[in-house]
Parts: sequence; structure tokens; C-alpha cells
Amino acid sequence: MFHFGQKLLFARKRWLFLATFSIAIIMASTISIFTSSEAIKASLQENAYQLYGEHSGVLIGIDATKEEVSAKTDGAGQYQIVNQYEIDVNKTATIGWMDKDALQLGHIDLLEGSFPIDENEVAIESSYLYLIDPNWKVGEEKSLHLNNQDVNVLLTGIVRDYSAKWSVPYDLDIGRNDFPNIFISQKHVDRGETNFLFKFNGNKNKVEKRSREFLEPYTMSGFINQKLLFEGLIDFNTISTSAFIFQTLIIITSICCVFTLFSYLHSNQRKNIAVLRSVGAKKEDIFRIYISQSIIIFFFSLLLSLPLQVIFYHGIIKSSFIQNNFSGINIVFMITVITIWLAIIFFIILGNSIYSIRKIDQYSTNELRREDFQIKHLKGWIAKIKSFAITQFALQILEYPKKVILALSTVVFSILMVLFSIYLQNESAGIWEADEDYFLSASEFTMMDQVEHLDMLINKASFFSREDVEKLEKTSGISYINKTPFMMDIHPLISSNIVTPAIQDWIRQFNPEKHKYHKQLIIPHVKYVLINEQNFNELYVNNDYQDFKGKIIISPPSESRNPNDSLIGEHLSFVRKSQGSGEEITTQEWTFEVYDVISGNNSNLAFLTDQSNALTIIMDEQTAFDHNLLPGYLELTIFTDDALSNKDAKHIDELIQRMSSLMPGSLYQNLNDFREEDTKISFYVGYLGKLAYAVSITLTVISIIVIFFSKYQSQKRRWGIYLSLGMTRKQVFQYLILEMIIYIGSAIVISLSIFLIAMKFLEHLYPIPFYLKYYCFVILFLYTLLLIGSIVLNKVMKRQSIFSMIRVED
Amino acid sequence: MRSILKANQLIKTYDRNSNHEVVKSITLSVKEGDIHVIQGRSGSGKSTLLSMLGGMETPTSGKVYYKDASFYDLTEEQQANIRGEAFGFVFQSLNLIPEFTVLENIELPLQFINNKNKKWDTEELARVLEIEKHLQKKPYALSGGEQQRVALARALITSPKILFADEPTGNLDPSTTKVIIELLTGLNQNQGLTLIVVTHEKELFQHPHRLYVMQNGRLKES
Ligand SMILES: Nc1ncnc2c1ncn2[C@@H]1O[C@H](COP(=O)(O)OP(=O)(O)OP(=O)(O)O)[C@@H](O)[C@H]1O
Ligand SMILES: [Mg+2]
Repeated sequence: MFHFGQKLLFARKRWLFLATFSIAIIMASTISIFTSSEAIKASLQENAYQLYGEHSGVLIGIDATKEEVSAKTDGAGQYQIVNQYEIDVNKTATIGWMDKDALQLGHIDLLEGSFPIDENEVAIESSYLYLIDPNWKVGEEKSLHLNNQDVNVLLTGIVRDYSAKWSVPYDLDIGRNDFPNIFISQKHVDRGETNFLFKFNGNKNKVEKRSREFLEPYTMSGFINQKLLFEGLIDFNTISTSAFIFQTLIIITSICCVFTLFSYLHSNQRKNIAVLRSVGAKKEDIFRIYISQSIIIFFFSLLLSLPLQVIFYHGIIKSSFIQNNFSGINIVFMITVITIWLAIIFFIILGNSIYSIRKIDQYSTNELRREDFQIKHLKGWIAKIKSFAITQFALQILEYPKKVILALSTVVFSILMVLFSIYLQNESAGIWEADEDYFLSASEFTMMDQVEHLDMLINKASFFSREDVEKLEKTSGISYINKTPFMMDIHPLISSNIVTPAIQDWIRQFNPEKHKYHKQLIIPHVKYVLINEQNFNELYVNNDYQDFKGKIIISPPSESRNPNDSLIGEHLSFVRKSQGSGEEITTQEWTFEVYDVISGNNSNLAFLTDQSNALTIIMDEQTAFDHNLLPGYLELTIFTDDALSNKDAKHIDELIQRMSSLMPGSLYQNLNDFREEDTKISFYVGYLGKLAYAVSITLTVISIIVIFFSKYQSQKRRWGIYLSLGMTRKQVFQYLILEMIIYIGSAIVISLSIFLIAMKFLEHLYPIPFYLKYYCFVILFLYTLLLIGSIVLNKVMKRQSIFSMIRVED
Repeated sequence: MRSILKANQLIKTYDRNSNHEVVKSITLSVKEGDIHVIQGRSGSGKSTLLSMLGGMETPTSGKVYYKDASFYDLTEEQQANIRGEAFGFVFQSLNLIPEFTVLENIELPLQFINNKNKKWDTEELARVLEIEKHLQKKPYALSGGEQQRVALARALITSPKILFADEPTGNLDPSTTKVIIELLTGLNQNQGLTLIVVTHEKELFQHPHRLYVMQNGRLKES
């Protein structure tokens, strides 16, 4: 029976080629999408581990052994903070050790040298080393002042900066719950509280869930590696989801295509099968024929798909992520998933065969042999139509309704696939128009407490010092820095008798309970902007800066009713609550005169951008620092010159990196890199889209060819009869083309409706007409295809004689 | 009388590679009102010849003339017109359209011709051929012989000048065969219908104008 199935297959060489070719494309595309997305994920993961460490979280100061922690997690490393070293007045380095597992989990690498082994040996993070002594070389000894005594230590290695990038606890306390900047050997350290890095395996959500469960009993002394999970691995979802979407789309399109292809084979084989049954073949024999055919096609396709896979795979990797890292890939997982995909494809082929056998079973052998056995199902209403043209046309379309539906869905899915890949590509590219180059935040979280309805800072403030920022501003290549002053704990107060409607509205919105402090209303959510003389002169061309010093300018939100309510000349108080090293709370108060009230949206000055819906208080920078209103800056957005020399760029990069490397828990973003990452993802999605696009177009072309051909084939006899009775070939051709136009036309209408409905629910940056433009291309393409198809069909038809059309039964 | 149909050195090879000629250089001439009968063994090329004469198969070489016009050199439109109005063809394999009723099948040719005033009334033709009871049935519900008569009716409905019939009595019993032969000879005598009939029954027509025997693609008059 195997032999017989093989014979039947090879009798249709062209069909066999089309079928294996389409299935090979389907296999190659789904598998290469999968393998390349895995490779990309592996390289992203490696990147993320390098930046944020591989640990899922950290346990601090607990009384447990490493074995206990290891037993409850999928891996643990131990480390300990031992001491602090004061580099200068406002910078201390943390001293500690990490065991091998912790170093490995953290992906902490040495730039040079080795980790310390003996007492009085150290390895130092490169930025800290630079701060301590830029000239200290590996292998040299140096005397450090530690615990009120000078100690001679040997530098054994330079550690790649890591600690500032890592997630830190909310209540960050340098020297207690951060990470070592100066590594010492694990021997000879005082026993005490120890800390652990721990890891859970699994996907992001599982890791997060398990980590939270694990940390539950240690509430105050552990935290999750937020940065790894929420920044490092953030692209994972995009990649997995888009890979999955495209795989599914390809599979759906291919189901339609395979069904179309095979329905042609099966309707041709049906007569043969009937003959076989009439000479005694059992149902199982027929079944064996179909299985053997499925296997043959499957393996042929598999063979053909191998070279295609290599091409697709390299296309995807090249077009998106240059790093091609296989180290992180789980081979067993890969093979399992590939096997599953292949199995799905195999069962689509086989299922389709079984489906058609099931149908054959419904007819008697005798009926099967009657060539007209399907005709009985034609609806009675067709018989009632008196017009020959309409009857004929109805016959054409309704002869194989299932085939028509299949063909239609293939085309519909292909169109949809093209449109959605265009959609995903464009939308994932995002719109990056801003030109800022770096964003720095001194601390990602600040912990506040409410004291008499005022926010009070409870952890030690991390900030960029005024000197550092000024130095940065003066660096060549930096054009402008937008600075957010560290003034979250400064609250302006206003007496009820001078409050203006605009401010009243503001208070109503953000302080609805109208909380007061010492009988004055608290103005909530104020934004502070500090300006210098140059900024002032840009704002007031004719005024004298000296008059403004020591005063404030208020800029109410632009939508307020009457921004010019005169507060000018009135005084506002500012208050700050703070907690000293003990528990006592101190209060500081200041009073400033209002110099002017300006409208928020009349400004196109850089330092006043985006003030339109905030209540802004503008103050002289010098005055603010003189009055101790702020310790420094919380956030910096740095703009560099457009024409930046490579040397300057490198220098700036180093400077900025160093600023943030010394600040655990700070956020450093090179927005150019950030944008580049983002484009990479969109390139990846774009490539997938193009691949899916190419695959779906190919499948559509194949399906349309098969539909065209099998339609013609199955109706050839009737056309021959018509021709013999005096119909012209031109008329036959018109009927055929009209039929195709109707199919493609309805596919277009259906897919357009689905797309428009989907767009209603999907968010999209680009307007619908933008996508309709592409849609028109797709339609144009389909009709070009139709045109080519009909030219070919016309040629074929001209070549065949009426006699052979009637006589030859394929 | 001048000839209505002429064939000049018709050759047909189906397989270009093997050069096997199914029809080997046949020349013949048919006068209007003639009855030509072609006999021969199975596979000798009778159907192939008939289809070339009837405008259904382009010859590999040679020409077919209908009223002095080289048929296969005419435009597609003109060829279709001749097929529709001047020729009637009964195929060996009948070729009824299974989706249409007997009536629709018989009247089918009228859809394609310009001259719609048919000379035959369908009912009458059906009565003559003894299939008037089956007009509303689908072809598959008819016996082989009944189907054969439907095919004949379809070929005659347009009152063609020439009727090409490939084994028109193949499935019929002697008495039905007689009815049909009488009809055809009657049409021949009264309306001058030219008949070109392929058959293996020697005595089908009593006095054919020409009787040929086909042998390995060659035509011999006997
Ligand atoms: N389309 C075709 N392709 C290849 N060979 C063909 C084709 N049509 C007919 N033949 C071959 O041409 C030869 C003559 O066939 P034809 O049908 O003309 O024979 P016939 O005399 O009508 O036979 P029968 O009495 O059985 O109907 C046969 O050997 C047949 O195999
Ligand atoms: Mg024959």
C-alpha cells in the first residue's frame, strides 16, 4: 500500500512539488522564527545579567546558613558588608566580601587581576578606584586610613562597575545594605549578619512570584532584583509574543493552504480510491495509503526546509541582534519545541487526509464511481433560475463550496498577516523624537513619611551635588542640562486671605481636604525650577536680576481662569520637616516675596518647558542653595551638542557613567543606547513581519495557483461541452475571471472588515489611512497576481483542444 | 453539388516525441446531403478523425474546409459560430451536463447561438426520440440509451447542417436504433442534413453515400 500511495503521489509531480515546497516554507519559517527568537532572548538575557546580575533577589542581614537558603531556592551566593571606607566628605565606599557563588550569580567580572585571597588584599570597583587614587595599579600596595588607623593593602584586581546598576533596597543605607565596592578576601572576617543573593529558575512571572513567596517571611530584610526583572528582561515579552503571533499566523495560513492543496489531491484521488475499494481494498488499506502519502510529503518537505531554515535564521539574527549567543540556550527545550511544531505540521497534513477518508466513507463504492456524485447536493433554487449565465455562475461557485471557503480564508489570512506585520513593525518602532541624550536619576525611590500633612524624607538623600553638575555643564560637548532640584520635601504655604482663584483650584484638585499647616494652606504638588542670571534675562529682557534675587516667580497651570491674579508683592512661606540621626524632627521655614506671576504656557524657554499643567515656582538658584533649600539635584536630563566629536562623546559618557556608578540605586540611561535597543526590537519584529509577509504571499500565490488550476481542471469538461456547442473561448475566460475577481474581492472585503474592527480595539500610533495605503498595495499585488494567472490560464486554454478537454479526465 | 466539408491530408499525432500518427494523412470530401459512415476497430482513430472534422481538435497538419473556408484558420469567434449553428456533435461519451435537467441539456446550445429561432420544438424532438417523459429529470436518472438520445436531441436542436455522431446507437436496442436511424435518414432526405457517423454496426444505414473503414489511422473506402 505504501508503494501504491507513492505511485499516486508521484503521478502528480507538479502538485507534489507545490505541496512540499509550501510545507517546507511553513516548517522553515516557524522553526527559524522560534530558534532565532530563542537566540535573541539568550543574548538579551546575557546582557541583562551582565548589567543587573543574575540573582532574582537579595536577602539582607538574616540569621541563616547558606545551605538553608540554597535548599529553598534554585541557587544562592553569600556576601557580607564588613566596613566602610571614607573616600572624601560625601563619598564612602563599602567594604565586603562575596563568595564564589555570589560572584558568579552577580556576573561580577574583573577588568584586570584577580579577587583577593589573603588578608590585606583588595579588589576595587573601577569608578571607586579612580576616586580613591587613579594611579593605583594592580600589584601595588597602598596605605588606607581605616578604622582610625593606617592599613597597607595590596590591590589584586579591578572590578567592572556593577554596584550602582543593581537594584537596592528601598531603605538604602550605604555601608549597611548595599553591595561591596571594595572586595576583601572571605577569610578573616568578623562573623555577623550575612547577606545572600538568591536565584529562582523559570520565566519572569514565575521568578517574581516565587521570589515574593520566598521573601514573605523576611519582609524587612529582602528585596527583589527589580531591575533585572523589569528593565533587563522587559524585551522578552515583546520577542516571545511577536514570535508566537507570527508562528500562529503562519500556521493558520498554512492550514488553509495545506487544506486547499490537499483537497485538490483528494478530489482527484477519490475516483482511484473508489476503484480500489471496488476491487476489495478495505478502509484500513486506504488509510495506509493516505498515511504513507502524508509521511512522504512530510519528509520531502523537511528535507527541503533545511536550507531554507538556515537562510531565514541568519536573516533574522543579522537584521536585528548582532550578538549570536548560544550559550544560554537550552538545547533540550529547543528540540522539544521544534518537535512540537513539526508534529503540529504533520498532524495538519495527516488530519486533513483522515478528514477526507471519513467523507469517502459516507458514500457507497458505487456512488463514488459516478462522476457526478457531488451534484445531487446542489440546491434546488439553482434549478429555478432561468438565466443561463447566472445558473452557470452559481454552478461555478457552488460546485465545491468548501474549497471556495478554504481558498477565501487562505487569501484573507494572508492579507491579514501582511497588514498585521506592517502594523507591528510600525508600532513597535515607536516614536522617538526627543533629542535628549542621557537621563540620570539620583535615586529611583525616595521614602517619605507624613508629618503634620507634610512629606518628610526618611531615607538618606541621594543627589547630584551642585559642583558636579556645574562641572558637567561646563564640559565641552554638553549643550544643556535640565535639572530637577531635590526639593520634594519643601512645601509652600499660603494664607487664606491672599489665595487666588487659580491656586484655590489647584489646592482643590490635589489637597481636597484643604490641610493646613500653622493656619496656612499647603500648596501641593509644586514643581520647582531654579534659574540663574542668564535664564532670568531670557525671561525678562528689561528687568534687573538683582531685583529678583531672593524672590520667587509663580507660574500657575495654564488652564486656570485668571493667571494674572495679583500676588505680586505678597509673601509665601516654605517649610521642611526633617529627621536627624536621632528620632527628633526639625522644622525649617523660609519666606519669600512674590516677584511676578506668569502664565505657564507663554514660554518657549528650555528651562521652562512643559509647565503648562503644573504649578511652578521659579527661584534663583544661588538663593536656593544659600538658604539650604536643597542639597543638590535629583534628576538630570542631559543634552549634548549635535556635532559631537568622538573624543568628547567618550569623555562625556565616562563622566556621566562615573557620576552614577558611585550612587547605588541610581538610574542611568544612555537614551541613545536605549533607542538603539528599541530599534533593534522593532527591526526584529519588522523582519519577522517581512518573513511572515513573504511566507504568506508565497502561500497565497501557491493557493491561488492551485485554486485556479483545480477550478479549471474540475470544470474543464463542462467548458469543453460548452465550447463544442458554440460558446467562444472568450466567454469561458470571462466566466473564470469573474469568478476569481469575486473570490479576491470578497477576501478583500472580509479582511478589511476584520482589520478595521481589530484596529478599533488595538492601540495604534499611526492613523488608519496610513495602513490603508499598505492595504491598497496588497490589493494591487493580488490583482497583479490575478492578471498573471489569467494570462497563463488563457495560454493553457488555447493550447487544449475541445476534444481533449472533454476526453481527458485527470 | 459542391462539397460542404473537405479534409486535406489530415494528420494527428498526440505524442510529439514518439511521432506515432493516430490519423495518417486522410483526405476526404463530403457533399451536402451525404451520409458518410466510418467503421473500424477500436483505437483505429475514428473518434480522433471525427473530432478534427467537427472542429473539436486541431490537426497536427492538414486542413479542414467548411464551405471553402479553412476551419482552423478562422477566428475563434467564427469557429464557435460554426460549431454552434452549423455543426451538431454527438460524443461517444455523451457529455451531458449532470447539473442540468434533460430539457436544459437539450436546449443548452441555444444559449450560444445568435440565430435563436430554433427549427425544432424541444417537446416534439423529445417525442420523436421517445424521451419526452424524462425532460425534467437529471441525466444520471436516465438509462444509458436514454442518455444517448438526449445527446442526439442536443445535437439536433439547432437544426445543424452537418451532424457528427460518434457511435450514436452504441447503447441502444435494435428497435430504438431503428427509430433513430429513421429519424436521421428522414432529416437527411427532407432537410438535406449531412451525416458523418462513426459506428461499428455494419448495416446501420442501408445506403450510405460513402462507407469507410478505418485501419491504423488510414481510411479506406469500401
Ligand atoms: N488525447 C490523447 N492523447 C494521447 N493519445 C490519444 C488521445 N486521444 C486518443 N489517443 C490515442 O489515439 C488512438 C485513437 O483513438 P480514438 O479514440 O480515435 O480511437 P477510436 O477509433 O475512436 O476507438 P473506439 O472505437 O474504441 O472509440 C488510440 O490509440 C488512443 O490511445
Ligand atoms: Mg471512438
